[in-house]
Amino acid sequence: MTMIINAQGLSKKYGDFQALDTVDFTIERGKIVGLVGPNGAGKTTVLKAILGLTSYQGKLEVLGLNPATQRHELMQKVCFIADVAVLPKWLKVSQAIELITNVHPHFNLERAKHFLSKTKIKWQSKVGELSKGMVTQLHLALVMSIEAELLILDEPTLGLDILYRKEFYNQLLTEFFDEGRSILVTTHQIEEVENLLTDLLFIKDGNIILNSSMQEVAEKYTEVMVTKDNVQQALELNPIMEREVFGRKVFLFENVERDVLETLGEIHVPSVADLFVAKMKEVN
Amino acid sequence: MNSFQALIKREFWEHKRAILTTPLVLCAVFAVLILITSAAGETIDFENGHQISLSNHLPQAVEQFESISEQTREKWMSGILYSPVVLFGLVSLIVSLFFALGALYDERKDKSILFWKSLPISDTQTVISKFVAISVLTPLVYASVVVIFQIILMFYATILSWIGGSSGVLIWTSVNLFGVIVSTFSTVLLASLWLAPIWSWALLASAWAKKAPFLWAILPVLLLAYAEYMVFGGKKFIAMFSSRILEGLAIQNLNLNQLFGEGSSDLDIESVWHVPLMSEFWVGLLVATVFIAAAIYTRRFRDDT
Repeated sequence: MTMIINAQGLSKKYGDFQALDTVDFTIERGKIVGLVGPNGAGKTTVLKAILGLTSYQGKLEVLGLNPATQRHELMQKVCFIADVAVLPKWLKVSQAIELITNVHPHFNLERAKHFLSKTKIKWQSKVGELSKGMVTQLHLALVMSIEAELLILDEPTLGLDILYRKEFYNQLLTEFFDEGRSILVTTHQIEEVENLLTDLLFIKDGNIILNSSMQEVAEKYTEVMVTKDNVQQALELNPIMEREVFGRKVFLFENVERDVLETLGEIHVPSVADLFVAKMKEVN
Repeated sequence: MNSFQALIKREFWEHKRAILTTPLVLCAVFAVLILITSAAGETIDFENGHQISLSNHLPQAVEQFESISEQTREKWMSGILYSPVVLFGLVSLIVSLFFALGALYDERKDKSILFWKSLPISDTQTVISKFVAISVLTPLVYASVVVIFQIILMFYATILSWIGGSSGVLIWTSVNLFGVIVSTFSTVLLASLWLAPIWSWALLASAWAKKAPFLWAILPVLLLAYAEYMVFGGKKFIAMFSSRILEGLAIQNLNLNQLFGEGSSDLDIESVWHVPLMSEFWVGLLVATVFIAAAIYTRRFRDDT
């Protein structure tokens, strides 16, 4: 496994506000990493630093390049979709394709034609004439046709309806992702990406509070639907979160032996959303 | 095609209406207007008491035109051919100014800057391509449309001659059309390059402004002029600023000024080819380079997306 992003002591201040507080993390090739955090936690700042769109303190290396000084080279290997409405309205589909063909050394025209042929997007349409969903389809088609090593998606499905969102991630998995590539994605709709992700990064108040693979998460965290008689016993094991479902208590445990928990009730792997809520509360 | 050409093309796509459609519409409108006015009967007064009335007796008019001296004929024919430069040139300058004011501002306003920045194009390439589209592409397209209009005028005069019973050959021999075309292109282009400091300053304002790039472009100029007046009691800066613009206009209309001007031109040069020999021309480009560099730096490092 090779490291494609290496951040050591990454910090960023906006005036008095510490957006990132000496953060360390690494991302390896062939992973799909979910960067999850509440609003204002520093997600976008991390992405912007990786893309060379903002200044920062500390060490950051992306695909062996320094984003602050080698942005131009970096953009040949990295693609990103920052927001849905980001394509200029006056641009025609055909012009977008022609332009990227001419400026991007790794753009595959055939792939773009293939992706677009599966949509209702017309070659001569202007971006401004397309629906929001179609603009995203177009943007994704363009980005997936670039043979990039790293794809960064910042809230890529914001404002889209559920049909488009499902299709978006399906296409991403089946048509773009492979061993040689990595995807870094932030989203509020964690449920939609959780089956996609290989790794999780939780960020809160400028700090990374969880950095593990989905497999590790499944091994480390267990959710137990505890029967009434065992509630007291469960509480003694220091659950990191408790909630109620249909009158039954559900506890989330970190690093507690599975054999022990099985005696308390039905056990599950927690959903990323539940884990997220637990971790966010825990640090308080 | 290399990426720089692709970027110029991208600017053309975005500003096609201002750069191409506007002058073509102007050209069409004026072509029709001339038809209507000549049919309605306007008279053209030549100096030395010659008068051509288009309304009543076209044969007579053609005869009159053919009887004036060769020199006068050339002067008036070139004058007619150069006259569209006044309007098209002015419109081109206004288009360039607003093009520059929006160039690095609109992409931030509509957030498409994040799309442009996701492509492997450096900020230097981007800003320079915009500058070239503003200061070279725009005037060249406008000059091309002026040339189309000039050719329409030539054919129109030829047809009038035919109707008036002449072969119309004299229309074409009276003036060196090729010379007029070259001169049109060079005055319009060099005027635009003379104003390069203005375009690049507007580009910088458009890269800098969070809102209202026009105010960011104009207020520092006014403030500086005011400060100079308050501190030194002088008006040198504003005089320099306004004479630069007037000189630009003078270069653009150099041909007409030389034909009909009374030596009151803002710029004392004999030929448009003297413009690139003037140190002021190069100082202007140098100043433009500084502003462009500042605009590149601002686009690269500003962080408000």
